[in-house]
Amino acid sequence: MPNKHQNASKISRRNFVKFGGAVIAGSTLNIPPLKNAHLSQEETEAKIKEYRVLGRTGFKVSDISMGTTRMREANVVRYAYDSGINYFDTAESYGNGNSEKMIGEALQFMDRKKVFITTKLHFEENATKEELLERFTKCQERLKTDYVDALYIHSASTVKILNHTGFHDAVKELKAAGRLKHTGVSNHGPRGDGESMEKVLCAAAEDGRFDLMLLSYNFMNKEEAEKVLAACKKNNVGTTAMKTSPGMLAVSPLDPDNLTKDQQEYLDRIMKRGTSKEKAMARLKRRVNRQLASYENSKTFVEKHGIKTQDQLRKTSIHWVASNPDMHTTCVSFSSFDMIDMIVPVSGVKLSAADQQFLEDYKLVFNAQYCRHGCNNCVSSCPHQLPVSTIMRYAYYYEMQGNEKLAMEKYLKLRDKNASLCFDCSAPCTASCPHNLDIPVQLTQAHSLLTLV
Amino acid sequence: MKNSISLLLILLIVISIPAHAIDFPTIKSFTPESEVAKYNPETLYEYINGGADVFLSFGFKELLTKDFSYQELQFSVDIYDMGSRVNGFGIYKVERPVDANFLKIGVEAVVSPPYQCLLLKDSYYVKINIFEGEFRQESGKDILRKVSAALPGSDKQPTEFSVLPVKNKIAYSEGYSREAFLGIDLLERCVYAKYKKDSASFRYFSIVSIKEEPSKITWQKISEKWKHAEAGKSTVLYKKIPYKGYTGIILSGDKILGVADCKNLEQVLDLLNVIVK
Repeated sequence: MPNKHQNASKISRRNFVKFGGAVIAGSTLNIPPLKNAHLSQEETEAKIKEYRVLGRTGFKVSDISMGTTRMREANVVRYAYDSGINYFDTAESYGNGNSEKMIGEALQFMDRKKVFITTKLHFEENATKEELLERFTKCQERLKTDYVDALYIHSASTVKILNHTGFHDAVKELKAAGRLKHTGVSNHGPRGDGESMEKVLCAAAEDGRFDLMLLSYNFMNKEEAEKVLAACKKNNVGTTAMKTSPGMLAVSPLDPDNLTKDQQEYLDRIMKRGTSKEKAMARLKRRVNRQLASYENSKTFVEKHGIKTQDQLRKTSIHWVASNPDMHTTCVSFSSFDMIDMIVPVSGVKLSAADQQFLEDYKLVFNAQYCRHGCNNCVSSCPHQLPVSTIMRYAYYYEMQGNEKLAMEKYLKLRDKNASLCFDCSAPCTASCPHNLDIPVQLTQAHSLLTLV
Repeated sequence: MKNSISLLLILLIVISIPAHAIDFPTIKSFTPESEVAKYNPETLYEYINGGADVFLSFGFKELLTKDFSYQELQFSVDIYDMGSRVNGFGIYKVERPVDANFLKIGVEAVVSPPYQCLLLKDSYYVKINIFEGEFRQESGKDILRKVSAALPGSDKQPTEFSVLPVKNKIAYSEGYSREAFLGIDLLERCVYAKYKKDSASFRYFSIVSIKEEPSKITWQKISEKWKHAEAGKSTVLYKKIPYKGYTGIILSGDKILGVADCKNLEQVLDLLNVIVK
């Protein structure tokens, strides 16, 4: 019997159903006419002040844009538009197509020509042109629009997928029919055995067929993302940032008689897998102690900058991204009117020296504590080509998620390519880590953890 | 009176406890075509990519997925354990088509040809994706009944909805918003339903109280931000929502009850009066 992970080659319809788009029946384009648009505006608290040219698309987009993964109210999209936001990002898979529907609903209150609508399709190598055309048609129906401004390859994890013939053939047909204007590539960092964000997106920027890149960019992954930005600038490719605000400020101490919801869930997960309550509690205690130690390190920083809320860190992080003129728009997943009112005021405002210093300090405190998503920089310096970030992730599953079985099984599948090789190795991998992680120490600890040696 | 309310609450809490985490159930007549794959909150994005965020926001716990064949169809069955019945309800409503024929299988189900069936039972949200064979409404119902029968737990609506009035409620209009209901950050964990009375359309909602934040704390937080109005001996908090008119809430016992989409404050007060009664 095949393992489900290895069984991804069924038929193209599998891609269709797995990644969404099954909500609306029919295969021919059937876009209901827009009702009489009511373009009257709500008085919003804040307004966008800066618009930037989105690479070779030539479209002037607001420096703050709207992501819709957590959006539940079409009126929030409308409010964003009334605030001056004119770039809206969605995907077939968000809410099983319902995110596209909400944008379609809000579009009735917008001047279509003044907004830039993007959607995304995720697909495997075996997807056909016909399947992608059918899925795109359904996206268009949900969005209620004659044309989509850009279609992204959703979370492209390898350079190979950039050359997908079915995708490019479908795009050619859609552009010829006036149903699609541009194409792009999104990347969140390596998935499974995928390649680094830098590798995939730099290749896409150089490729010439893609007009837009959607990438993880924040003050913690600056170096890697800025290589992508440089490639985009050189090739006049439009850039959109996502995952713009990392970092946490608060840790709850452990009170065994009054666990927080998160702590209780962690405990339940471990016990569900057969661990005794005593051992599970000991694990939880170790986890909280590690978090508290990390928090203690940051205490001086928090006090120095008078940080009171997570929102403060979030807003400053987003502001930092939006301040980079090479990032044409900063995509924020807005779920509320309040959040729009909080974030939009950073538009067109230069980041103050104090805020810049705030983020630099934060980075110094937290820099050497976690292995970055989307980074595989150290792999080339490893004589054994170990998948370092993957091993670190498995250790994270084990320690922080309480998912020992999954972590150990996955680690076992690496076979000889595991961190036991680090015990006798003196290669200078730490020097290649842009974040100064002590790689050999962390890898050998991970090996002990994942093999119970 | 207070004692009976407390007893009722205890009963509601007990009834609301979700079924235990499960192994993939044996489904009568289905032939397995793959091993079970499991995903947790950290790995879910490997399976459904950008769609993972919304599942995580609803407290996703674990996904079990397996391929089957049955008659001439081949399909995958994805069982999402959302940790609680109300969270399961919330994600099902986010993903469910807005306009379809909803079925009373499990808590609720829908067949959405050409390729998909959705089912809610207890805390489990199930997505069945057909990838081989001709799929019809009847075969979809058959598959949904078999999956529902194999899953443990309740096929009743989460008890949190029992506070909402029944009269004038639009069938299948209930939903659960974990965050920013109506686009307002302060309105977290809201169960709601749509109503139609004469020519008026509106929504009743209730904020679900949790251990970490009892209703009185939530009420206090909102009272600092919203306007106050008097309704007899009670205080009503109200706010104008962009494009949607007025919304208002009232603290009734240990529950916060609310109404949204009202033309003016008078309508807010009238409709809150009805729900409190």
